[in-house]
Amino acid sequence: MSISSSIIQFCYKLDDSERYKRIKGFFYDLIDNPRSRLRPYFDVAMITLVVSSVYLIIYEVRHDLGLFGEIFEWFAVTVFLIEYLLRLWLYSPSHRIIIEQYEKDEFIGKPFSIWKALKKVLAAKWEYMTQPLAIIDLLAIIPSYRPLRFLRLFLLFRLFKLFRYVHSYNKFIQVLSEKRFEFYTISIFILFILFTSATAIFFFEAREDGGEIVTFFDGLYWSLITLTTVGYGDITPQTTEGRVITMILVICGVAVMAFITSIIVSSFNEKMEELRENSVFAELEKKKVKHTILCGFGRMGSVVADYLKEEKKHFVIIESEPINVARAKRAGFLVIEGSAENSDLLKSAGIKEHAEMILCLTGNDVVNVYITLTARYLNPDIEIISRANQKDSVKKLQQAGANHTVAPFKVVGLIAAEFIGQPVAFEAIHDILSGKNDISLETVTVKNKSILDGIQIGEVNFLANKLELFGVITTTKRNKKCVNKPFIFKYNHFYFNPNNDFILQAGDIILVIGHQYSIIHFKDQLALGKL
Amino acid sequence: MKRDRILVFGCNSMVIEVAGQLREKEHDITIVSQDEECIKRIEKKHIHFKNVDYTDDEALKSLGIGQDVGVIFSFFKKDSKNVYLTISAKNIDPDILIITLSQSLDSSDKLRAAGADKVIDPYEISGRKIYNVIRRPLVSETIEQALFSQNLINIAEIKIKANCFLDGKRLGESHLSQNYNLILLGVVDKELGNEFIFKLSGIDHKLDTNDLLVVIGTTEEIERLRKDINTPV
Repeated sequence: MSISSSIIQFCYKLDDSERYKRIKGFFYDLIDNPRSRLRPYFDVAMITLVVSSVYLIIYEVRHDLGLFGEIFEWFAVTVFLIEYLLRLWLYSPSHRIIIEQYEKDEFIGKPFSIWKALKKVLAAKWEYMTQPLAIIDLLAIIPSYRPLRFLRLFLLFRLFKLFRYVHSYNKFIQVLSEKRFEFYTISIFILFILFTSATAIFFFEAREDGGEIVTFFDGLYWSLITLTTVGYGDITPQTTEGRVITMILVICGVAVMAFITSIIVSSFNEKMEELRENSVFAELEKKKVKHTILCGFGRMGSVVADYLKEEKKHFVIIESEPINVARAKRAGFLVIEGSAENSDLLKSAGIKEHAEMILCLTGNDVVNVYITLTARYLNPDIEIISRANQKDSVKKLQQAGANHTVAPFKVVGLIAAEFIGQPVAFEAIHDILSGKNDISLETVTVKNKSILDGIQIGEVNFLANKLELFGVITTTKRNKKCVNKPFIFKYNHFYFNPNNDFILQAGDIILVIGHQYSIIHFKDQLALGKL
Repeated sequence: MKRDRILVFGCNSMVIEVAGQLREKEHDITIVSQDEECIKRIEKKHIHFKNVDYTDDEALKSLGIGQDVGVIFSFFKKDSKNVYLTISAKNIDPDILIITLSQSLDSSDKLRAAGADKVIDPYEISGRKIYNVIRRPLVSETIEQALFSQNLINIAEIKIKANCFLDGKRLGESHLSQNYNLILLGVVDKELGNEFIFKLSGIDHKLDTNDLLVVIGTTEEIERLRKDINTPV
C-alpha cells in the first residue's frame, strides 16, 4: 500500500512540475513535433548517422576497421537506444494514466490497485512497441548485442529507419493505399496468371527430356521473370507448346505492367494538388511574420500581388479558375486552388492565427460578400479589404464586416468626370497620390519626446526642405480656436492646411507633399534633432 | 459650332457611374448601346440613350461625331471594341477627345496607338489603391474621405487672367496658403509648354496670363480665389 501511495504522490508531483514539462516539451520538439524548428536538425543528424553506420557495415565485410569501427558502432547503437527510449517515453504520459486510474477508482469508491494502473501503462507502451516503425527501430539495435550476432543482416534495417526522418514517405504510402482496390484486383489477376502459366509450362516442359524446367518452382520462377518482362533467358522453353505459352504470357506481362504503372501515375496525379497544397500550408506556417490572404487572382488581384511582392510582403492566393492558378504559379506566388467561399480552405490558409489581412478581389460581389462575412466570423480582428463591383454592394460589404471597400467603377467615374472639367489638376493629384514622377504624399509621425513634440507647426521650415505641408491627422480634437476647422472622421480629425500656431503632439501624423528625396532628407534631419 | 456633347459607349456599372457623375456637373451626355437590358436600366435613370451600331461609320456620324460631339467615352468591356471605336471616331474627327477603358497593360498601349487621348485602367488604379490602403491605412482613408467620397476638399485649376493680382508675380510671392485656405500644388507655365510643374521643383516661376494654377482646398476658398483672380487690379 505504501508503495502505491508513494507512486501516486510521485505522479502528482510530476504532473505539477514545470521542469518536467519543459524537458518533455524540449524532447517532443526535438524528435516528434512536425512543426518545430529543432526537428529538421535532429532528422539530418540521424540520417547521417544511419547512412554512415550502414556504410561501415558494408565496408567491414571485406576490411577490418579495428577499434574505430567498434567505437563507432557503440556510439551509433547508444544513440539509437536513447532515441528509442525517448520515443517510448514520449508516446504516452504514464503518470497521467496512473493518476486517471487513481481518480477514477476514488470516484466510484473502489480500492485503488497499482497493478491495474501499471498494466494500463505497459499496454500503452506495448502499443507503441508494436508499431512498424518502432519494430524497425528495435531491429536496428538488437543485432549489435553479441549473443545475437547471427542477426547481423538485420542491421540493414537501419536503412528503413530513414523513413522516420524523411517525411514524404508517408505521403507516398498514403497515395498508394488509396488505390488499394485496384492493387488488390491486379494482384489476384497476377497470381492467377502466374499459377496457370507455371502449371502449364511445368506440364509441357518437365516431361520433355533436356527441358530446362525440372521442378514446379522452376516453372513459377520462369513465369514471374517472363510476366514482369524481365526475361533473363536462363530458363527457356524448348517445346512448341511451351513457346506458345511464353508468347501469351509476354503479352499478358506487358498489359499487367502497363496497368500497374497507370494506377501509380494516376493516383499521384490525383494527389499532387493536395500534396502541393500541403506544402503551401507548411510554407505559410514556417514563416514568422503574418501574411495576407488574397482571394481572386484576376486582373486586379494580379496588380495587387505585384505590389505586395515589391513590398516583400508574404501572401497566399486563393483562386478557383485553373487558368489564373497557372498564371499565379508561373509568377512564383503561393497559390491554393479552390474557392475561398470554403471556410475550411480559409482556415488552412491560416485565417485564424497566421493571417493579418484578407483581400476579397473576385469579380463577383456575391462571392466577395460571402468571403467577407466568413472571414469576419472566423477572425474578428482581421483586416478585410473588399472589392465592390456594383454600387449597392458597398454597403453590404461594410455590413458583412469589411474594413475598407474599393470600387473600381467609382474611381473610373471620378477620373472620367474630372478629366473633362480640369484635366491638369486631376492628373496632378493622381500622380501625387500614386507616387508617379517621384513626387508623393508622405507621412511624418510625431514621436513622443521628439523634436516635433509640442512645438508650433510654423516653426518647422517645410519650404527649406522643399516640402509642402498638406495637413495633420490627429486622434484627439484640439481645443484651440483654429481658423481652419478640422474635418472630423470616424476615428480621427484631419486639419487641412493648419495655421502656423497649430501645436503638434505626439502621435500626430503630418502629411507633406514633396519629392521622395526631400522627404527622406527631412526625416533624417528630424532624427538628428534638427528642424 | 459648340462641341460640348458627350457620348458614352458601352453598358456596365462604370458607364452608369460616369454618366451619373457627368450629369451632376450638367453635361449633355448620351449613352450609346445595343444591349436591350441595359437600355431598360438606363431608361429608369432618365439619361439620354441611343441604340446604334458602333461599327457603322454612317451611324456614328448621325450621332453627331464630327459635328457637335466633343468627347467620347469608349467603355466597352472588350479591348478590341474599344480599339475599333477609337479608330473609327478619330477617322471621322481627328480633334475629338477620346477616353477609353483598358483591361490590361498590353491593350493600354494599343489604345494609345489607336489615338485614345486618355486610357483608364480601372484595375490598375484600384489595385494601387488597395495597396495604398495596406501600406498607409490612415492616410489613404483620410484622403479618400476628404478628397473623394465626401468632397470636403477639391482640386481645381484656375487660369490667370490678364491684369489680375497674380499676373506678373513670382510663385514665391503669392502666399496663397496664408491668404487663402488653399494649397498650391503647382502650375502649368504656358511659356514652357503644357506640362504640369510641381511647385517645389526648384524654379520660382513667374506667373503670366493664361498660366494655370493647380490648387487644393475647400470649395468656398477656391471660389474666393477664382473671384479675386477674375477682378482686374
